[in-house]
Amino acid sequence: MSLLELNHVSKSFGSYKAMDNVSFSVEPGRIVALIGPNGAGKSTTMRAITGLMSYSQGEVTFDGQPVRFAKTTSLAKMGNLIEYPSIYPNFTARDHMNYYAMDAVDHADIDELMKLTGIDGPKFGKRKAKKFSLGMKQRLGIAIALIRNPKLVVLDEPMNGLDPQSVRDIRALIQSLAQKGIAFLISSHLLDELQRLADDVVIINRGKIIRQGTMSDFLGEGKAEIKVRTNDNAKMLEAAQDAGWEAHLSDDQVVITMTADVNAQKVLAKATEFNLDVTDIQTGQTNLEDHLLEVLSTDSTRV
Amino acid sequence: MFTLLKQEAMKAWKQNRVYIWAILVFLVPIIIIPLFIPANTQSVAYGSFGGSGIIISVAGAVLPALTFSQEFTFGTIRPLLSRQYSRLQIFISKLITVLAEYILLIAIAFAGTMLGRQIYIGMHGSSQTSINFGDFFFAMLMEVVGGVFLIGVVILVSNIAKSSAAAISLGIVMSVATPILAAITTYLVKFWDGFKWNPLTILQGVQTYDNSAATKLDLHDYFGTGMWVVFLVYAVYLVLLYGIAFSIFNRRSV
Repeated sequence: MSLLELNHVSKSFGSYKAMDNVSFSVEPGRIVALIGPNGAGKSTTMRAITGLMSYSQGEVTFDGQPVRFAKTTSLAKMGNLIEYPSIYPNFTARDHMNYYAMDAVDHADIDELMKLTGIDGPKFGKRKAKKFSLGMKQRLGIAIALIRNPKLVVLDEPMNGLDPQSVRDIRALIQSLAQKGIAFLISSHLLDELQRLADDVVIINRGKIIRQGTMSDFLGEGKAEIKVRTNDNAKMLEAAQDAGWEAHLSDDQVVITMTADVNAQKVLAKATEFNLDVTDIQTGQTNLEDHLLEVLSTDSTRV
Repeated sequence: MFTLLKQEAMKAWKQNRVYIWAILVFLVPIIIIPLFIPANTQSVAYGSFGGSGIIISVAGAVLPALTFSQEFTFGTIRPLLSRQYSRLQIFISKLITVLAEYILLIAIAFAGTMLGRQIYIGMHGSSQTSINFGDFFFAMLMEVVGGVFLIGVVILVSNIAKSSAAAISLGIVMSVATPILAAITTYLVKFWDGFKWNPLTILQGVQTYDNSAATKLDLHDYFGTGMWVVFLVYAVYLVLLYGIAFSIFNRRSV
């Protein structure tokens, strides 16, 4: 049995189906990205998982126990940060740690956790949370999500408001905790960050799961591309299209879809044939953002 | 439940700063009673805790409102509910906390009143400073019993409106306006006798009750029944009030 399982879970608000027969699972130690456009049902799904919202059909189980609205005994080993950090303005960072540690069955070492999440410095100290910046609050929110020594951490936009160094620190922290067996379910609009972080991906659109699997498999579905920059991109594009290749201009480069017959060598040869100077050439998979948009554009559930 | 109560106590102290109210209700009678209350109204001043009575009424609206609605305001309601505890346990822990705060403030105001009285005696002598402690403690008990209704109204509004401001405003208005509204409803009883069983008139009856024979007779004449029936109806209203408040708290998706 998986650590977290959603089996055919549905939730409607009037005639609107926020979750429509949603099924997916999260295994221990895996980092799962839950992605989709605004209003797709990501937050609703996270609320159902954390026992904050009722659902009309199906079942959510965590650690072998059912999670239902107002029946949340199984949540002792789940941490969450949903939408924005839950912070008491007159508490210090340490007050928050002490407060949330009180009801933990087996809580993390507070000093160690504060150090790990970077909320132990002089910037925090005796300052009250109402004086924290957004990034400081976000770090505190992540520390709160980890205080129970959770088996699963549900994070909604965890990188929100963080500076690049903090994003890197939090990414490293999540990866190191995942290696210790803690599972993460993360939703974020920072798709490049999720691409680096997540092992698995679950795509939700209009309340339905439209794709799930490993991140590498998902990215592998996307078209491999050759991005070439020359001294005359318009001429390069014309040459590629005349050759019957699928190509388009993007920013200041020509993007050519890689196939069995089209590779970087042939593109270079074509450029030479037309006396073009190649200043840069790159090959690679489509990124998460591009492939997600492609998947969403062809999704039949989209209106 | 003990853990939940410890957490509520921490919030009461650090977040809601209940100690400010405690200091206030302690100091006000110490200043007011010896310095501003003449001898002929000393005993009356003791009944209102030397001016702290009104502060306790306001605190009775502010503290429950903050205890419930701030969780929605700060978004802390999510981790609060997403735990191994049932919503009933969380609701009860909050309820016990606000009632404990209310009783604590009354006890501290009483201590301040007694200290103020002693200072007055030291300054002006003991003339007209006698207290019937039996009546005094009974009045304090009735203060708590009546306060439970107003706290319930504030908790109900806090859960409906999810706004501290709305709940505090209504609580303060209720604490001031209840006697006025009760007087109006008492007048309306002339037109329909059954109207005397409305919650505000019942609350007024409970708050008026001082265990004296004269009051018992008056209330018996007014309600046409024994005081225990009035208390029973009051208890039913309390159960309904808190039941509805919990029902809203229990169903709310956050």
